[in-house]
Amino acid sequence: MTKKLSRVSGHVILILLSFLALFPIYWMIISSLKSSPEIFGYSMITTQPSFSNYIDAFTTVPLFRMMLNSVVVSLGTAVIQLVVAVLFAYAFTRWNFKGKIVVYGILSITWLIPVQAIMIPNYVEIINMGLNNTLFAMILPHCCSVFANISMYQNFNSIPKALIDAARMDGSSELQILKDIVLPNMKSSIASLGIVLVITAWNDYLWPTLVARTDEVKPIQIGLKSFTGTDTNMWGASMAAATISTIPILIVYIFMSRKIISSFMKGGIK
Amino acid sequence: MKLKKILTMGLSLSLLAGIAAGCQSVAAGDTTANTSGQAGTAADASQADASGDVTWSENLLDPENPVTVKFYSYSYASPAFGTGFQTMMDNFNNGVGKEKGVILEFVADDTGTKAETDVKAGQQVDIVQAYFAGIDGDRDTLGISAFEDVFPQEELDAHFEGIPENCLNLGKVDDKMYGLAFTFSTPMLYINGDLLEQAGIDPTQAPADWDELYDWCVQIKEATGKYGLALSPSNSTGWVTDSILYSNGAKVLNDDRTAVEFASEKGIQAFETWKKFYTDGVAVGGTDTEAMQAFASGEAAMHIQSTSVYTSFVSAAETAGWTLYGYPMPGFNGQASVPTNSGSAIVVRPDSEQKAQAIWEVIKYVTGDEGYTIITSEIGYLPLRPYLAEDENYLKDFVDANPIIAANIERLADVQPATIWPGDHAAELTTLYADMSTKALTTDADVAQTLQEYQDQMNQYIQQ
Repeated sequence: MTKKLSRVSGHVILILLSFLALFPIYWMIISSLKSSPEIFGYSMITTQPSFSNYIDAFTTVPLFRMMLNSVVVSLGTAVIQLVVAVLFAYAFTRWNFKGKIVVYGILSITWLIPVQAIMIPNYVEIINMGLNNTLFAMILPHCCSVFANISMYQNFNSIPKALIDAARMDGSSELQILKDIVLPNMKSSIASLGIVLVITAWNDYLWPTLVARTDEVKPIQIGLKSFTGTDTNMWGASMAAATISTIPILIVYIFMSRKIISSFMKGGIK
Repeated sequence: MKLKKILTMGLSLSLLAGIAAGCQSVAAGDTTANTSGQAGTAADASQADASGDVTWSENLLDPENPVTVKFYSYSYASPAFGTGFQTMMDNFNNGVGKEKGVILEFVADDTGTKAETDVKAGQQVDIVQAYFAGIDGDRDTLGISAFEDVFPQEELDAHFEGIPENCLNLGKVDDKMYGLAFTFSTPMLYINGDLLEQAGIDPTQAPADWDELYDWCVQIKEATGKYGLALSPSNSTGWVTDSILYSNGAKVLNDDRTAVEFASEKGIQAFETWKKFYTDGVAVGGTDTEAMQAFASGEAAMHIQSTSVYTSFVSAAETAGWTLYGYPMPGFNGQASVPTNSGSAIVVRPDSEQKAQAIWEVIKYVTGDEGYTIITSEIGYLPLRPYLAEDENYLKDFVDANPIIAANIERLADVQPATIWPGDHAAELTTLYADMSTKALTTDADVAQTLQEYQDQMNQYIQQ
């Protein structure tokens, strides 16, 4: 009886939590179909669904172009960060050298420097390099992620040293050891970290606001914000654009839900 | 253990380095501000005659080698307004710009921070669309120049003809024009005619004053259950609060802008009248956005808001099938109100005489007859040139079709400047002013005591 009760209460809590997670998505979709006055009301349904907000969203900003920009920037950033993190983690795991702890300590501390503190110097550099208003300008300052390096180093530490030594004795080069021994064992960790890095880069707003000047290079996050302004807010179009922008993420989630959940679980446990 | 020690030492060092860097960045900021301030100095290279007035001896613009003017605009970043700005830019670049040798380039700056960052990064920032309340501060942060210091007086006089004198004073600090009113609006009372009729009130007449407005609100609440009025106590930068205080004869700042004085008898009286709407539950407050939403959704019968949102309300009324009416905001004791201005001003930072000439061509266009026709008809702000409303070539047709706009244009001559807070603490003072309104109007706090408390606090900032 107690077991049954606890199972029921567990389900009730899960249903409530699911409702909290799903309701904003429902509200976004239903609001995107509402007319201008309806959108300010509290009605859970719309009596006259209309796609005019979607037309407004597409005619106001180049939504697809912005989504493509976001895909390029987030994937590009994540891939480069992963490559750097793998090389860093391998070097730190493989070799013991003087001052290793100090280098690791200094590296960890740089994680604490807020982005805002280095934004202007980075911006000046980007301008001097002639990269302002390009997609690469959104990727370049984020090529090395301390978070990714440290996470990867912790994962690489779990590989038995004996395995690497054995491969070396077999005559494998460092690159071969990394490629044939380490990476196949780290697939799951790399995929998990990759997902977190993609999501972080996808949600970045502040830096792209600074370097993206034209709609052709703006990512979707800036596109979504542009529907709300100081004097007027285009709520309907904003909801329509938000609905469209969630579709690629939703597709990725459907295909990779297990990996995504596991990556967040691992991140949480660490 | 060793690692822990190293990390602790490293963290302490980084904290110290952070503090040092912070100090350095403040110093760097100061330097940048001073450097950017040299924009005006460089522009002073424009020849000045014996009286100190700027003169332009020759035309430095060349259609073969056009000069680009970068105009940072928050309206351009807004999808609702961006199209109008795009039209202005295209028309300028294909017309006057091509003829004179000037290319106008709008830079979308939705938060206003991009201009400041670009100034600090040493980038070209020529014109900025700025809020009136922060103009004094912009003298330091953006290094803007007074119009009289960079443009010849005869050019200014010729261009300002047709603009009401009081509107030209809106962006003045220390008797110099640092900002020229650009996108511009006054507080307007929007009315949902159907809700008023349900309450037995004739919506074709405006309420005589705030007392009558209160009576209407009570009547509406009793008859329909809806709120009579939607008005945000903090209302953006507090420009409606300014208007309410001025309308009852109170002041916000003293004449030389060295002290706050809203906690006067007239100020307290105005706030007590306003507070009654919230305490009796006949008005809805919240943020500006919440108040707008309450009116657009039919939850509130009346709303005091900028003329710039007029087209949004027209569309909301048309879709929902109710009739929209609009009047100037009411005053006190049967008197007309004193309207203030919201919207933005143009501020400039030319770095050479040639750039000053190019900027002036842009300003003449965007604040000229064609510019204001686009700003009013496509964006919804008021034309700073009232005569355009009578001219068939410009705004007559639009104003005839939108009489609500006409009512506000008529009041342009009465506009008083919304508060421009003293530069050093403009941001803090704006926040305190909004906090004061919210506390005095929507809590149990005593109005007189709250106003006095905030007045003292704000004066301490000003005197620092």
